[in-house]
Amino acid sequence: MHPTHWGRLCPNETPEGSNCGLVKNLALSACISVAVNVEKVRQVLYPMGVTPAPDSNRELRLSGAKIFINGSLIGHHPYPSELVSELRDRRRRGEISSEINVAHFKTMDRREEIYVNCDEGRVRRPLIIVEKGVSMLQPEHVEKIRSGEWSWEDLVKNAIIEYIDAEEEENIYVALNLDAISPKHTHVELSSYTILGICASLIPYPEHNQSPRNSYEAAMAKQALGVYTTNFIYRVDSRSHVLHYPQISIVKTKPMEILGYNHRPSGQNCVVAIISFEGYNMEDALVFNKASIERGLGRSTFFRIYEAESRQYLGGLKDRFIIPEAGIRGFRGEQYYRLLESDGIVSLEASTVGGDVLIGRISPPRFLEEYKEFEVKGPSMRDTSVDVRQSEAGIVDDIFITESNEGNKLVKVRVRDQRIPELGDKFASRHGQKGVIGMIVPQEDMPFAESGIVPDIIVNPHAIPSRMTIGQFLESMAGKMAAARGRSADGTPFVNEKSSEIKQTLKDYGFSHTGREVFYSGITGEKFVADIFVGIVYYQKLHHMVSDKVHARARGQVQMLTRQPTEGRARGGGLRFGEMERDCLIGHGAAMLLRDRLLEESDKYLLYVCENCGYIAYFDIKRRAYVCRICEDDAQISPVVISYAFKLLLQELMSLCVAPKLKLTERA
Amino acid sequence: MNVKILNRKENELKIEIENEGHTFCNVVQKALLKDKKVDLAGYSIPHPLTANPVIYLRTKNKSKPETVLRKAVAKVQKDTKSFRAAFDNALKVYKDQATL
Repeated sequence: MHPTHWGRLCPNETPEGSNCGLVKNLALSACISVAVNVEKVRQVLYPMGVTPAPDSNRELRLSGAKIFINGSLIGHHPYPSELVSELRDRRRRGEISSEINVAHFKTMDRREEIYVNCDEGRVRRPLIIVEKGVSMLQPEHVEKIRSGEWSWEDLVKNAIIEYIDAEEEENIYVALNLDAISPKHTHVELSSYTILGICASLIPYPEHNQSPRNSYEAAMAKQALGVYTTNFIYRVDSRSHVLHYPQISIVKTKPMEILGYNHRPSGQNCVVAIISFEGYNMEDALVFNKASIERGLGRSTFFRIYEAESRQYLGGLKDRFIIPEAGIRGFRGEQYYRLLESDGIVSLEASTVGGDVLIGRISPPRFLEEYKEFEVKGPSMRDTSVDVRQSEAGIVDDIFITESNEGNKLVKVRVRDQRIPELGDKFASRHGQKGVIGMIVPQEDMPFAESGIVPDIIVNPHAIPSRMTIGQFLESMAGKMAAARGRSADGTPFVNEKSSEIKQTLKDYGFSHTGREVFYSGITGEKFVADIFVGIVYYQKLHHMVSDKVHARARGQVQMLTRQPTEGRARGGGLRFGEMERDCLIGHGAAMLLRDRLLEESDKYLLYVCENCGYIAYFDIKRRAYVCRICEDDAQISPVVISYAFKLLLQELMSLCVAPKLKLTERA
Repeated sequence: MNVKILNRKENELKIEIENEGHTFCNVVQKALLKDKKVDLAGYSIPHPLTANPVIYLRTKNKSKPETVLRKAVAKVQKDTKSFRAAFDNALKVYKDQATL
């Protein structure tokens, strides 16, 4: 990070892994400059006393300051400081564009230089102007904004706020807040929390967290489910998630309200207790309250679009939407078409599982030329129906029949699936504390307080010490305080309700200032020796759900080229037994198991090789034997067990005119 | 309630109880532990979602685990009955008070 990032790029919002530091996010108050005509700026500078570069005499060039516009030298000026302050005054008065920024550099050995920048792409941030130790922003201005009489532009026009780019920032002295203003300061920050970007601004009490935890949350906030737009019923997004009961967090930050995040929140306030519970919340797993889930905690719906277009081909052939007939090529079986109506499209609200056909369609064969050789009847249609993905299921939510760009009939079917939280679904708080549900426990077995309060989520205390995510503790206590007093808590970075206030308020409402409460075991009924830390924390459901990931394969499809098992859950693929896994088996000396993994269960192939010349032999149908083309009669053909990938390698080498010969020996 | 005997040795008894949970087992365990003739008494639920609880009992010297278990269960029944009666009575008193 570089000091100029302050107020321009978010210090926390960047992806983990390969893109770390390369993908950046703008800070909240940052804005990008738009170009101003360079000619106009020149026409302003020359009358102000800048001598154009070709005209400056030797004396001016040696003693005067160099003036640059957008990095190009345009002239010299004998009194740089006056020029700079005059330019800035003109900008504040509105006589020159507010997009222009001026920087003045004085170095020990070199002469002074003035940089005037008016190009596009500079990241600038707004600052309140301070004159003679007094902020230009006064209560009457704030009142005008509040009443609506003035807008943001009016503040800039009236020289209360100006935009500063990175270069001009070298010449100013910014006070962090109004109390810190001294006569030497030239500007004061609007608010410190605008150094953060959008996602990092959602974190309450972030200054109390270890910095990487805030970065993780900035990434996870983008994976949280919510109501992404209220018209999701009418939209045809290929995949979408909607949370059933979103809640506005009771521990809010100021940027949340400004950004409108509170209009479409993506999480729920949960009663969270921090205890080890029966060993099911180890390694960041979470224990959920069964009754809370039954009351709707974390419920969401998943929508998926399946589409089919009835294309037209050369020769007048076209696709048709119809329930395919039994004899047709690629017919799946009558039961898969059971949900289709007469128009070949599935009926609304039909309950479907993986493999069921949603849109029945038949198409003419792909390669017409082939058929002219074989068949007399003419091209026969084949089934190209669209079916539900193998591992998914759902109810048909809506059907959209329309026309594509080419004028063909286009059918889109939206299937919805209700996702009730189950073991394996991923949840996270706003402090980088992610976890997967490890156990769903009935409410009666949950630890309970005397008031009858039972936690919705139980987090393991081991998740805290190494992560140092104190923001979660503060959010928990602030949440409890907010619930007790009936008013949201403010967790805005740097200007939040301090922990001392939280503790005092908790005491006022009868809770312990430590945030802990007396709990009794739900299983034995005995009081826990230690008081348990419990509070209200905003938890988000992330879109990694176990039903989208669970996958199994015993035997199945193989790829055409390599004859190895296919890749990916959608294609019923196998899990890769990679190089490192191979190393482990070698380390154990498990040779037979390695052979099983890499040959028997993958691409074992019997290759016939001619021992004489070492090349691959081929099977002659007429002679019903393997022959070697090169050594006709001298040939000695023997079979060798290899992987198909190796045979592929041999053939690829052959295609490069490299002759791979195999020297065979008898098996010992 | 289906009870399956998993293991029966000298003074040891291990039984599996179908379709029960902490509600039954914890109470029985606590009652067993009060009995002086019991050496070890405990229960575990291998996995709440897939398995039934298993109660393990070991008695001292000459006592038979079955007898001890029956005695403990009888005690629990008695306690439950008397608690039930006390609760119903208290509820009646409360309701009568409320109508006054």
